[in-house]
Amino acid sequence: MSKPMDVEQEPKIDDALYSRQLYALSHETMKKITSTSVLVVGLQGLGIEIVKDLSLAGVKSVTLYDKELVEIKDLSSQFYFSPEQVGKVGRADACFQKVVDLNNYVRIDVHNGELSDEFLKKFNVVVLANQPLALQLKVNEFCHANKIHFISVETRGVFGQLFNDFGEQFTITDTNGENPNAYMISSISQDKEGIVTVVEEQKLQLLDGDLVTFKEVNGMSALNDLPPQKIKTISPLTFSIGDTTNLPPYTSGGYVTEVKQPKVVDFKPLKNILESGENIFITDDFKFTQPTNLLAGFQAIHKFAEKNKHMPRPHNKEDANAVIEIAKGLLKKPDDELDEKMITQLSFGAQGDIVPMQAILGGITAQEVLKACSGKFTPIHQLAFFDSVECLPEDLETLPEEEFQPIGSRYDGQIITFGKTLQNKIENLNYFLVGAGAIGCEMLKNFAMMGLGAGPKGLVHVTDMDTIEKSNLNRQFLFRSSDIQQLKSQTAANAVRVMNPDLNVKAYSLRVGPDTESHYNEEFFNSLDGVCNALDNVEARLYMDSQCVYYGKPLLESGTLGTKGNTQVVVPHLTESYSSSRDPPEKGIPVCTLHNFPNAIEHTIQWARDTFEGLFKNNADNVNSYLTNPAYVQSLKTQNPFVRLETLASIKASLMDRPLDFNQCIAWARLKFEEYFNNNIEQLLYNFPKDMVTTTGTPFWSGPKRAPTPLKFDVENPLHLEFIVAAANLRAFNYGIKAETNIEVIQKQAANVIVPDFTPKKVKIQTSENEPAPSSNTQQAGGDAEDDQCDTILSQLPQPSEMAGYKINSIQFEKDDDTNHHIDFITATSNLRATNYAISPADKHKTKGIAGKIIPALVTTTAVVAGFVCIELIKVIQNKALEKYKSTFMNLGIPFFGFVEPIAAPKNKIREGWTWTLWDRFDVDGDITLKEFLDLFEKKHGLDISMLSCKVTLLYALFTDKKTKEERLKMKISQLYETLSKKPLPKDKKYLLLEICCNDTETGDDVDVPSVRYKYN
Amino acid sequence: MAAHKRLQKEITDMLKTPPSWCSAHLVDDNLQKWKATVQGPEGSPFEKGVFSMDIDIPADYPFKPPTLKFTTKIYHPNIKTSDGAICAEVFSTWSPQLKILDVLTTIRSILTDPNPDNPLETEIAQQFKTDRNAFNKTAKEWTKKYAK
Repeated sequence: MSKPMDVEQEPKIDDALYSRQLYALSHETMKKITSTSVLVVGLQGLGIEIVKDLSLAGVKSVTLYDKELVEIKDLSSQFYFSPEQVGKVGRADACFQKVVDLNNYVRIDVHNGELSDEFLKKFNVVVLANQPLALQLKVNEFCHANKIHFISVETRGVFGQLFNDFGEQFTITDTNGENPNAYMISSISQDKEGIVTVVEEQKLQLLDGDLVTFKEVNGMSALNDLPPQKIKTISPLTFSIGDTTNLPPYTSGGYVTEVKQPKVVDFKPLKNILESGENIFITDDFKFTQPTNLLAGFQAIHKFAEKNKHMPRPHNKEDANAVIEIAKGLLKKPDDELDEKMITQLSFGAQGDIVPMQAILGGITAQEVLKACSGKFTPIHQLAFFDSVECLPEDLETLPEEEFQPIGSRYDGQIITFGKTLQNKIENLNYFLVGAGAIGCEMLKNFAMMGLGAGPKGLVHVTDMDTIEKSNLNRQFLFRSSDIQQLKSQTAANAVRVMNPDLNVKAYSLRVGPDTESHYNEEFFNSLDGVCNALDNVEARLYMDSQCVYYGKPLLESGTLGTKGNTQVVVPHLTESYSSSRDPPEKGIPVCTLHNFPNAIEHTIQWARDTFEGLFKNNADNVNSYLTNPAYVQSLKTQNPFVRLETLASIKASLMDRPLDFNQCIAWARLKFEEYFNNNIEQLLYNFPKDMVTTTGTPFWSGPKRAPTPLKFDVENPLHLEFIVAAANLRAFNYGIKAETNIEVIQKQAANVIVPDFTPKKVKIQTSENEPAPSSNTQQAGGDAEDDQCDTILSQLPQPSEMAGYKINSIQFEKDDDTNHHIDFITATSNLRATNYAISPADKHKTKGIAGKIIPALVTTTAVVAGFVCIELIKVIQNKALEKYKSTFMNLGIPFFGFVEPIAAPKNKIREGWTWTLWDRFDVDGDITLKEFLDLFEKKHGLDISMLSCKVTLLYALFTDKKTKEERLKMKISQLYETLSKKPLPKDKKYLLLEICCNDTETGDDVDVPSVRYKYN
Repeated sequence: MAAHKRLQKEITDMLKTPPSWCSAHLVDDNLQKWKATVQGPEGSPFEKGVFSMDIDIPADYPFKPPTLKFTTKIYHPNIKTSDGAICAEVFSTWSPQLKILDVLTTIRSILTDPNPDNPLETEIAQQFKTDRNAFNKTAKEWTKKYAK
């Protein structure tokens, strides 16, 4: 069964589909991926994870090989099998059509013949998933000899093993995927080993032997033309290069940029590795005995299987003891000691099959395939082990064997690993999955396979307010092209019901936040066992965290960024919450850099983005508000008079200078070009001539301040024309004018626009004592100048009633539509400004990434983090001790895995014998007056309240003036809140959350105390 | 919740022991909206002036810096005349350890020492560099007119 042979041709990469992956991998890498044919041997849960990820990633072809018939146990993790196929259909054939549907660009074949040498030679990469060791050794030997990249991967319950052999002299073109570090130079010495010092804001991330190049160095400009130079690091801000004694002295400027170097690695065949124990990749630095024991253990279970014709039986002590004896004989060093507990766990679960481990090992394997075919990122070298033993039942060895025997259920793979009792608990969980995007899709697939929510009391709630877009399909694997524009949550729910018809799942499209607390209310949260975030923004994460803290629910959190992923588990009363620790704030771009002194393409892109917003959205919104909102003009009076003046002036220009045809839009665009890229630059250079010095005597235009050059419009210049075309089209859209599509017509029209000459504005220098004080503005002197001008403009504006029904079409930035001129405008505008300041331009792809704040995303990382989250979920439902949980940070590219115990919830002490954590709070039932509230805390808790607030509203403060205080003391808290916040009490809630500042009554000490849940009815 | 608690403490400290050169209070009892006044530093052209500003504190303060805008018109190279926006290093090198009072201290220091090398008002900056007396005269005039 195979599709007709495709015509061999270089495929064009679908940028819209692979958008987020391209930001992680690059176009060059993608080309190599689309040329790669992969064979996957073994199509149980592990194999299908690999196949799913590779198909979505867009390899050239995937060939499926597994002739064994589907077993009921396979359905524990093989999401493309169905019960009717059990015992009737070969595994590869059984999932073929579902795999084909994943990605039209990828050819899928099934091979039902032999794994002959001739057949294997067709492939660039061969992957063996859960195959006998004898087959692994045989195929690897052949692949190694024939330059076929080989990967072998296994999962055994909570254990996993992965082996890479990419042959001898494998070239890594880019070891980490990071942009090369670039630094601004502050000085370079003339020495036998010239010392380069960079400006203080940045710390060098260079090592001895790294290569660097120079550009824009003044004085010692010969450096700009040298080939890459090898460096020696000296201090965080200095390094040395070669001999600079004979070069002219450094004067100013310049950048030094790291040169990324390819790396060549040798891989050894599997037989060598197993015999020598070399090239073991450490995945968890804290598990010292794991590699040694699993190296022996995995081989031992294979030897056991060869001898006994079956894998060790579930939870069988006799078989486990036999495996232990075999393993003892396989230890490499005399002083190695076998961890019999670990080997027992491995043996007990050797037939186990749990979807979290398939997702983890499958995702990592798929990433290794992509590395093999492209040389992008550093491969695992060569043999790696993974385990999640902490999620096994604590009393594993004392539980009866019967607990782990398969029952002919689709969950048998999980029952073998965790036992029937835990399986039943999983099926009856109630979970809230927040988000049905990439992580959400992976979570739902995992839930479906685990049976989470499939029991009579079980339920999964899933919400996502978004609809499906093409760029989602690359990772959000529950969706198909035909689903585009459908709701994610409903579509995902329908898809996983196909995977497991027993799953109880309810889909919503309401976003989570204060606005929807009538829906996601107290009853809703109290029905939950936990919450699983699958979000892509911090704001929603923080909100869900606060709700989980309030309602005392466990929270599972995860995120990805390209090859990086992280997970965090939050357990009530045990751990700190998500918001307890925070990432450092993102550095914004200072407003004066943005306005006058850009030095990086990020600055010009941000400026272009802001310009887009101002010209095509804010102006339209202001006009529309003026015309439709009777209170608008009045509301402007509360603003700064200068803001009001600017706003009214823009409304006037928008209404009274509106274009009547497209030619007027072209003229407008041409004049904007002149204003932005010539006039404003000439003005800046008039104020700060190129030779100006600062107050400290150094050149004004130096370091981060790049001297700009005005641009003269050239209708033959493609970049200039791009700006005109995009700006004119957007203006036409604003005013509902039909646009011209013929570029030559636009070009001719732009060339004919009459542009006024520009004269720089001067600050008038006072020449005599009697002249009035000068002003940089043209306003007349007097405090009410702005008000007068506002009144003048208002009198000139048409009355809203005269223009009833008229509106300007506001343009909302849409980054993923390539036909709407939004990215065209921003790219052209950014690059023109970059040209002004001699900054290297960015292509449309890069501009879109920055302007649209696109987060690079890969299906592989997504699958792996979802797997790790589900491992933590299994711990949460067993109420594991703190040290059993793991928060994860990983980078599949480097590769790196870090597992850390969550931080315990910090304890705060009020006084001896009274401590509390973020999970605790005071409860006050019944609406009482402020005075009664204060008295209650003094008498009952010994606390003097000095300040009381609810959300952002301050209800009481000791320092409030006496009269106000007396009035407030008499009021009920609920009334006080409504009065001061000017908001009604929430109808669907019965409480307010109050914050207190207080002192201990006895000692007078400031003390930190929990929030107050105040129930007012 | 942490932000509100910290803001409670900050406004308490401001009201208990205000510096001699500034004051602050909440707008409509809203912890995230402060109004502050800063006295022009002695020896500067802004002396004897009382400058008002709006302080908007984001929900994720202190992880994000507050936004400050002068509501009193001021002739200064680092303060945008049209809307009172301020360009000061404290915002781009923000740290969660800083407080509102630290920001106000920084604002006061740029009144004492304008930084014409990082201007928002380029023409005022040029005048500051090339004709300090004229700058001082205009700044004093504006202070007298707008900042009483």
